[in-house]
Amino acid sequence: MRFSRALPCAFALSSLVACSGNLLPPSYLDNLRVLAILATPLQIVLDPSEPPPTIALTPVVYPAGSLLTDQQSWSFCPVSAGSIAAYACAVPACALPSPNPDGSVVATAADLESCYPAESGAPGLPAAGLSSPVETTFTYTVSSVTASGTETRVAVLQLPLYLGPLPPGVTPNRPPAFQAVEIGGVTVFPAPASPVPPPVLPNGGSVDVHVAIDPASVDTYLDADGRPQVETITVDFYATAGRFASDLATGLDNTVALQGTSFTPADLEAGTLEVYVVALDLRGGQAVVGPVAVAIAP
Amino acid sequence: MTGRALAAHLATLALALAAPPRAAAAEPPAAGEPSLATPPRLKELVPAELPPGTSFPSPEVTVILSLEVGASGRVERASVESGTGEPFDGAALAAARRFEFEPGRLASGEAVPVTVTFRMRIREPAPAAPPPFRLAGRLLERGSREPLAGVAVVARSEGQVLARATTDAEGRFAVEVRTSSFTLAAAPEGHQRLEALVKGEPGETREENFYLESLGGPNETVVSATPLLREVMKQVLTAEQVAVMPGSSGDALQAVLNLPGAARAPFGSGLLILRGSAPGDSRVFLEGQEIPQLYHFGGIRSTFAPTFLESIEFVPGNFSVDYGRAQGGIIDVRVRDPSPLGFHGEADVNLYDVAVEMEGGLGGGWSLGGAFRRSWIDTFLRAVIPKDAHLSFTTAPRFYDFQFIATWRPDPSQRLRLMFYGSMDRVVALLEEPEADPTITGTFDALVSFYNLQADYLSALSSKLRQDTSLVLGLQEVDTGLGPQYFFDLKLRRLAARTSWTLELSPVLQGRAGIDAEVYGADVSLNLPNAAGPNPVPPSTLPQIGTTQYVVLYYPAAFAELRIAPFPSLSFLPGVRVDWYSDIRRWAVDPRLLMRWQVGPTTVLKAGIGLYQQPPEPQESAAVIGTPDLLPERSLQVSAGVLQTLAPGVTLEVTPFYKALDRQVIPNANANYDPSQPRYTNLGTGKIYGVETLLKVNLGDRFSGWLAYTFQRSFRTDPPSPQMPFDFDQPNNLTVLGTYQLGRGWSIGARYRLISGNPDTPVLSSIYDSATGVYVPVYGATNSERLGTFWALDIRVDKVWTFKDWKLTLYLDTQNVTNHKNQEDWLYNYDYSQRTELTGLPILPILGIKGDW
Repeated sequence: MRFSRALPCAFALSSLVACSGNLLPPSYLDNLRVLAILATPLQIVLDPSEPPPTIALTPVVYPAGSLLTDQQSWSFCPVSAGSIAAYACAVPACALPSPNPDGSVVATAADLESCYPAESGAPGLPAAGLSSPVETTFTYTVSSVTASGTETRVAVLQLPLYLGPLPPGVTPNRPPAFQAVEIGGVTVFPAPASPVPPPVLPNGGSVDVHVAIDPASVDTYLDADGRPQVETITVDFYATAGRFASDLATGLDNTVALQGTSFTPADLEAGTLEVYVVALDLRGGQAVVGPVAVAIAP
Repeated sequence: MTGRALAAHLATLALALAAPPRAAAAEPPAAGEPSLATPPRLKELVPAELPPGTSFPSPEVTVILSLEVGASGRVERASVESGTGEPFDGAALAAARRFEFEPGRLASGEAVPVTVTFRMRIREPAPAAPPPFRLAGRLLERGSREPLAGVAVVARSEGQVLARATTDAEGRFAVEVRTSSFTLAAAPEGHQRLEALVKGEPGETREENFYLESLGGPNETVVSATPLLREVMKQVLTAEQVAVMPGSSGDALQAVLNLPGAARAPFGSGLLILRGSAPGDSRVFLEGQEIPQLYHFGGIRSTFAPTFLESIEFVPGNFSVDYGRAQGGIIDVRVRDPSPLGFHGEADVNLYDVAVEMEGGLGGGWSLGGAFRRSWIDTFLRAVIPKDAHLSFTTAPRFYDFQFIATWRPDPSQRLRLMFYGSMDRVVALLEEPEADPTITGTFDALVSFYNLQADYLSALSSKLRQDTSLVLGLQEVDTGLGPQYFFDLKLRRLAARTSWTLELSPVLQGRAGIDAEVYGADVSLNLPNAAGPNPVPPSTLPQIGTTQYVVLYYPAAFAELRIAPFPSLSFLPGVRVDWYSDIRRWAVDPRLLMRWQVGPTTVLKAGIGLYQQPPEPQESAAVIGTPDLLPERSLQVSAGVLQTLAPGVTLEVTPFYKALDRQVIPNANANYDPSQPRYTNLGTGKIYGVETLLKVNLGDRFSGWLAYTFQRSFRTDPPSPQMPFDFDQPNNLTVLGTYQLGRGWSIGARYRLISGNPDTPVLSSIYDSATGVYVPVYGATNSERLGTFWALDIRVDKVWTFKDWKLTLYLDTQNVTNHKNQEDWLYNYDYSQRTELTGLPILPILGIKGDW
């Protein structure tokens, strides 16, 4: 009996973990990056008894404020083949309205339905029909002109599309919410009532970045087999200089060291760096704190 | 009478007859007196008896006696006329008085007393012939103590053969000689000559063992099977070859991968890629029964330790109808019986693992053996894990395996062998923080084990009919999990039976038929990312697929084959195999034909064509997670070859081949969003072609090696994608290896490999999945790039100290001695904008010491 295409290779996994190489870590921000796509709401419900849905989508991009409006675009795919096929669209994707200068866009029910052929209901979908919910895909493309040329980044957000009212037991998903973020003992979220000195990262030293997630924002959902599951919250850390000891962490209370290493002369000359913290519920819900300025002590 | 007295008696007798008698009268008879007509004639000589240890003044002494012989023939009086002194004179007189004569007689016939002079010569007796010296000996192979049977043994001295003997099945012999010193000589085949000077005392009986060094060693063979070749290309490696093969660390399956037709497996994978087929398309058997798991973690050690290995049969394609459910090739591991003579053992300690083995005979035709091996790489692994890897081991990777074998041979026509063997691998690691994907975190736990109880019975039912039967009861367990969400648990119970009958009707016609059945009961529980695509993507971006079910699968099969030899040099083997696959409820009929033609004394032509089918993998045909109505995958295999003996010990074998694949199971990408579509289809096709070349060189007892070169292309077409190279398409695969016996127990071997890099799919860009925070690669054309060419030089040095009863071996097997950085894959950064080479094993020296007795 063969399981050659199914059995995981344990040793290969541990090897991969061990061989991280000298590549730059994802937490180091040195080029154009999409850090998050914030959506409201986090599901699309085609419920005839409800008002037509409107989806607001806001990208969080680094570096902030350096983008031109005509270098950003949005598209919508009602049925995607998923990551295995690089989110290829099973039916032709369509463009959403032009984004605002910050890249955000509001997609109305009309915008979404225009992506379907005329006979819709959920028309244009494969004849055999789909099981609700359908994983729809919003795609955001952004470019930035740099000294070395034009950089383009593509990011997607998949949201479930219910072909009718939400099934019993299914509650709307909510994004995770930060309870507190502290850097080097300095509370940066919630924003202090009065200005405080920025956190300081000594060159060669380190500071702890502590992130607490509000437990009330963690949802329970039904998995594909109908079993209730509690969301797994992941926190991604980003910094424009220095290095995080870990790029990401899971759980509601995490502390990760930001190390004052690998500074470039430009970093030291600027004397400051920026930190972002992104929380994800792995179901489309995201929240961002940042940029937070951190002073570099020589 | 002592021996010495007897000797004197005989000497006396010989000399007394020469003594002239004379008349008893001192003076001649007067006229008219009757004259003596016949003198007394000695009737019975009594020897002179000397005390033991009598010293003779000369080799011979003479005593002249005067004897008066009466009319009765008795000696009436005796006196010494001329003596030598005592004890000779007294002994002579005493002897003479017991003489008996035919009395002297007158002419009238009247017996009369007569006095005669008797010259008694007493010669010093010759030394007594010494009693024989009896030597009972055994001829044994030095180190292994294996008996050398049927060997002629000669005892000789000064060019003369004193005794001859032949060793029995236990190597025993006995010679009896009447010298105290001789040379014992023997010349067993494949071993050192025996020339031993043996000294002993007369009458002594001595037992002695003689140990002779084996000369053949591992250099003898890559044997091309038996005369009845049932495959176009079949190579057999012996256990001795495997033991010293450089770069293979004495591992059976690693060694066989040096043969043409076997692709190089990527680092750590332990995959078996034969003649361009996918790893799951080939099967490995142990005495005809499949081994559930080939390798321990890391792919360096196979799960069946080589201790009881007899040989490995390697057939990369066009195998016989005995085997099925595979569209690639096969490997069959042959097991040796434990030694029935004496008790033997082995202990092997190296930097990777430690192994012990014991075996011996129990009498009554029974022999028993057992072996156990455990890795201790876990001891070192903790030290090499980088501190920033966020990985800690609760249980570092470790394995053990064991084999127990009992053999019963009541007579030459029967053999029953019972085997209990198994393997266990375990690792528990804690991924403290996710490295790249938020779902790759938590406790990684993997337990992979199997236990097989196997019985093989071989019986000659008659002089022309033979039956081979084997039965296996097995349990396989796979328990793997990563964090709380991903797991794959399998408990597989297996019952397999195989029996075949071989009937030799005549030299022209031989028939063979059999059945081969397997039944599985599987408890499966899984929840995994549904990675139904050709290229990997972050698991957190994939939908999960899960099921828990118990399934029973049964695969009965029957096969039949004829061997038709119209001429002794030409034979055809048509055969057919019929399989039933219960999981897809389909029959498979595989006709196959093989041909062998001995064109001349040095040339053999071989050819084969056949159909080979296999059921889909269980997860592909499962009711919930797969597609139950799939067809069997199949390949049409064609190969032809020539085996040419170029010179004594030098052969060249060239085998071109072609394989056409169809009905290959491929995932259906549309099923990702359309549940009405099948998850898998049979739309995949492929073609594989190439030529395998094997140049073998055996130069006496000193050197053996081979050059194996395979040119091969392997392509797949998975609609709607265009044709692409197969994942392990390695157009050029060159392996050169050899082992040289330096003498005095030293040997050195080297292996050099030069192999095309595997195809690779480039990453063109990436898409950020904001829901999971990971980048999803956007791939270019599948397998449109190729990794760097692989080359490595491996060297092995062995030193064997051979003592009478045991051998000690020190070995250093070093892989990649030049520390060449061979690319195994690309390692990408988080968004696939940068990449660096992921290289394979650096220099890997394995130092070990082994003792066997």
